[in-house]
Amino acid sequence: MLPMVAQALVLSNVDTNQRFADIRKSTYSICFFGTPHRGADVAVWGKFLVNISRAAFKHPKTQLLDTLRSQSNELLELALDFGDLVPQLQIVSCIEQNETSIRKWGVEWKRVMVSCITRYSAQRCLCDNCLHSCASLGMD
Amino acid sequence: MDIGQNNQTVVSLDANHRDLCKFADQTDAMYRNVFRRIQELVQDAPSVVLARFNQNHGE
Repeated sequence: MLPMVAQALVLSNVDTNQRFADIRKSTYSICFFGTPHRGADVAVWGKFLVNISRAAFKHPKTQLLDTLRSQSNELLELALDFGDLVPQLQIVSCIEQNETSIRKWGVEWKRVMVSCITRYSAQRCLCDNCLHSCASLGMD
Repeated sequence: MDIGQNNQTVVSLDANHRDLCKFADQTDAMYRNVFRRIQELVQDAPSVVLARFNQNHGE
């Protein structure tokens, strides 16, 4: 869900003893499917993530939520580090056109249609000089 | 499908988030759309990757 692949490649790039250099050199392209490069709406993803982390770690990890939150420092740092690798990669970003039906808690549980990952967030801005501003904009 | 800035291809699919990577079969229009782009990349990849390894080898 979070751009784990991006994180792995960043690690391979900064690894001093070049253990993962082959992986980086062998990676020609990455295809993303609705990946929130620029964060996502925590109101939409919050409960889902808490449930996952509760199952996986036996307790809710709010850190996961904080990372996903638009404009989070970690997403920004990852975007900047990954930006160094982008020129050597072919990026395919698949974007959802339609809204998704989810259960949402308000006064009561109800089904609502939401745009899970916005077109803006799923699309990386790849221009050289605006990585910082794009990464820090958060969602629209 | 449109070619985005530089080296990014944006593929807009007629699906919601849940079904974004679920294709009916190999004739599915969304599948064909993604497949075409990946096929191009697979064709181009070997020569580029080989060049990277040769380049570092010479250093």
